[in-house]
Amino acid sequence: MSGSAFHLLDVSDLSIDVVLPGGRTRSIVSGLNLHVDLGETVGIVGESGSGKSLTARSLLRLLPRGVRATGRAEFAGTDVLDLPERHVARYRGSRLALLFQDPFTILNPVLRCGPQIEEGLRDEGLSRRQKRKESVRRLAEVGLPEHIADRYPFQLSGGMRQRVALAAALAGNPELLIADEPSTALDVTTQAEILRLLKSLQEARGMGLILITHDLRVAFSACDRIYVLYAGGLMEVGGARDLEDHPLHPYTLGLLLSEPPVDRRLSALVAIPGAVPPADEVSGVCRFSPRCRWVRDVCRAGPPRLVPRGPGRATACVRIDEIDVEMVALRRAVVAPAAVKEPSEAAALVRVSDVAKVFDKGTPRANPALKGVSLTIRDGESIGLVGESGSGKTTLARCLLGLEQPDSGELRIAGIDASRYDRLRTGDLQRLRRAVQVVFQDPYSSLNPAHRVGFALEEALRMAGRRDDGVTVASLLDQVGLPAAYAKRRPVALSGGERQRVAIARALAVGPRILVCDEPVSSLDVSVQAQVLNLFGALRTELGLSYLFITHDLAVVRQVVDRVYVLYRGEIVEQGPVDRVLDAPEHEYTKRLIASVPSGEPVVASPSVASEAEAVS
Amino acid sequence: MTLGWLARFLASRLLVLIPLLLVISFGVFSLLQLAPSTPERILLGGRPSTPEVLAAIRERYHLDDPFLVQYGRWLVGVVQLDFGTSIRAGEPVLPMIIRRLDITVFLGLFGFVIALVVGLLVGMVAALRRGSPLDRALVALSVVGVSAPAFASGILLLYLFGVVLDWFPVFGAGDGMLDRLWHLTLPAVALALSAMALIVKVTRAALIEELERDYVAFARARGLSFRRVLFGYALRNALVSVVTASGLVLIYMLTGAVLVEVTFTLPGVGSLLVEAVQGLDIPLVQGLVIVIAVFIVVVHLIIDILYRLIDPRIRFGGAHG
Repeated sequence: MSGSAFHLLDVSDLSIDVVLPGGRTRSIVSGLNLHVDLGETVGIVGESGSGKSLTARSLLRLLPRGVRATGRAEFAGTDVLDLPERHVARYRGSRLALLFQDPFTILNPVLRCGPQIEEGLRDEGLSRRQKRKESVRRLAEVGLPEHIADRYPFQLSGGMRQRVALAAALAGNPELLIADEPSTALDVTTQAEILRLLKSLQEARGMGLILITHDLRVAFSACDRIYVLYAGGLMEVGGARDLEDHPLHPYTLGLLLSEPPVDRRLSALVAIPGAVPPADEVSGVCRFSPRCRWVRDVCRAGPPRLVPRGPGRATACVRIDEIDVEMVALRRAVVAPAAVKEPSEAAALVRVSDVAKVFDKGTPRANPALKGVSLTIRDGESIGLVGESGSGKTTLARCLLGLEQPDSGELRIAGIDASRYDRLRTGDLQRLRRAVQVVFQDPYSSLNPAHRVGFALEEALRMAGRRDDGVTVASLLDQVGLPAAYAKRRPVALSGGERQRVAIARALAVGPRILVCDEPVSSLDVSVQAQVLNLFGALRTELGLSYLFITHDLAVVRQVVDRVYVLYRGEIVEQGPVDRVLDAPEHEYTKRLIASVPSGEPVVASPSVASEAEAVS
Repeated sequence: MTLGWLARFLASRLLVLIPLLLVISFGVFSLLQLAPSTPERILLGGRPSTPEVLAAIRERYHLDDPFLVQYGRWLVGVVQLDFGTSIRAGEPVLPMIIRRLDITVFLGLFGFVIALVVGLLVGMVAALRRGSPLDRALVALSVVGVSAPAFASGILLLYLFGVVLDWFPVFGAGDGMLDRLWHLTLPAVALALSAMALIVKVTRAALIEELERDYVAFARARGLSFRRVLFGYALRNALVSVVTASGLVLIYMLTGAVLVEVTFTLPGVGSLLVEAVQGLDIPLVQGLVIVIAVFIVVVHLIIDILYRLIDPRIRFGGAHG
């Protein structure tokens, strides 16, 4: 597909299987072809369960026990899958390196940063002082000052840790770096910095770079070519620009449409129905067929192979010639923007006045989380609270829910003074609990795994005494778009999106007037995110709910809120209607947040220095 | 690295430990009052008593003073290392304890080293071969070890290696370093057997957990050698759990010594405690309990210091990450 016949890395017909007891196997990835050249940036885009991380690990011979890779993966002519065990350590780090997603777990917690970089240096016979000098030079390469070498990882912010990890990954001067979601666990502004840094290092070193991500916008902005992986199989391959302008697979199109745009509000997102299936269930057919709106019998006739279509492009969709026109039309149809609701004149449902909270008060570690925050939520309004980690946004939410107590200031919810939950009379407390409900970020830990869905909802209904109002478990499930039969399931049998729907149903059980949603879609796959965002929109129309959306994701904010507050280090630095704040930000911090959102435009490589925002924590 | 944190830590810890030891000493002193029979009869031992003798004892031990005054006087003595006089032997308590201490310390440390070294090795092998038949066999064996009390496995060892095979002596503590090592091997193994299981289990579980961590995979992805990843990364981080367990094992060595010393007829602190209790020799019991309490407190202090040496996150009091 590419010009030269020999590639730096040439993977052909790679399959990854779990070997089950008794010798049976379960497929995770199959028939994967992929190549990378020196100086090239290649993206592997896929949601959870696509097999993208295990593919990366298989190339480093780091598969977990019981997982097996077959096929060929030639690195500069040598098949690494076939490399004798004693050569593997020399190959890792010096030819091919892997950077992981989570900077908080990737470094050895009991070792200073300098030595962690020094360990990976391959120059023989360096003295201690020379090694130290080299590690300081490597830290400078990733934009960190010398004193970081003497710090322990836990003393650094997430962005700085990821820079240290990057320096450690590059210590052996690899020819190819695989970065597995390198910016996903970081704050928005830091994400953009890490991506720019990766690009600049790739250019300066002339190495190959594979960027693994679930975020098409990130891939578009950083990569030359993109492989779209779904449920263990390649759906489409192409140049980043071509893929963005004209996707040749319904799945790619679905991903593009599911992605909420940050620059305009849509009346509803075009979500892909259902959830990502286990690779093994769909390995005999077109993997996307169970969720595809254009599915025909031919899609289920057998596993389709990638078919070249134009220079450097290939698609696994067997019906692409028939449906291409429809796909283009669908994409045009959904760009029509929707208007934000007019400013509400309704009475204030929540009034937060000058609330302050300091953690570890009176100790040297005293940490002011909120420094006099005021905000108002009117009845039926959807409010966004935007900020990065450490901004105090979650602390404010916990104060509203009575999980923390503000040191000073006043909280009024539905006419009740909620500043001190512990001093409330029983009647007021009950009214308050019914007025405010919460949806947490992680539906995997917010549902009790021992309880069936029906039991959890029944319990919530009983507490609220609403069973007489005709509200039933079935009606709650119906409200969040789940069949009544789901009452018999346990959380473990549900996908992430379904769990979040159950969590929302549980919150609705008491008939609340406002839902506090703390990053409610950020742990979900892109294709599922859109479904849940649409659900929030529908519930608001149907029930007249108010929302407090706490999020770092400006695209989500654009889609679901009317007004927005920007929180920075415990203070509200900007507020206003969502269109005004996102289109014409006034505060310096808001501007930086907006500039950091990956737009799909190519990132300008810059050897950035760690910004002041990532100061030592 | 400055050691300022260590001084600060010791100072803060002593503020807690000194009151704790005071509470323990108060409990220990109350023993004399709580024991069956009256204090003067206990102090008299089994000797015939007349009202004059009892009065003389009351006079000599200030038994007519208020309880707290008696406690204060006793405490002043204890602080000056005067634990009173043994009823049975009629000599000061402390020298008696010290004479018996060297056997117990030798035995305890010997057992501790065996438990720790073998336990760590077995735990590591089991963790690296997790799920294999070898792993399951090792875990099963360590369960057997912990289920068998030290006196039972002691008797078995005695019979097997002392009587049947005649490799080791069956009683006595031996003179000189080598001879003592030879004499104390069986008792130390008996002690270690029951404590080793804890070390095996903790090492295995902690190491398996650490081996699954991202930073271990990242270290391997960077091409670090297996040995470096195992010792410098996984084991180093697993050590915090192992240190906790080894502190418990060290304390167990002292309490376990009571049984083992009796089983092997060794004249150590353990058998002294048994004699003291059987003979209602309250001053001796008090002295022994104080010594044991101080030992346990010191072991805990050492563990707390080790934590801070091993894990910088505890040292710097960082709550994050």
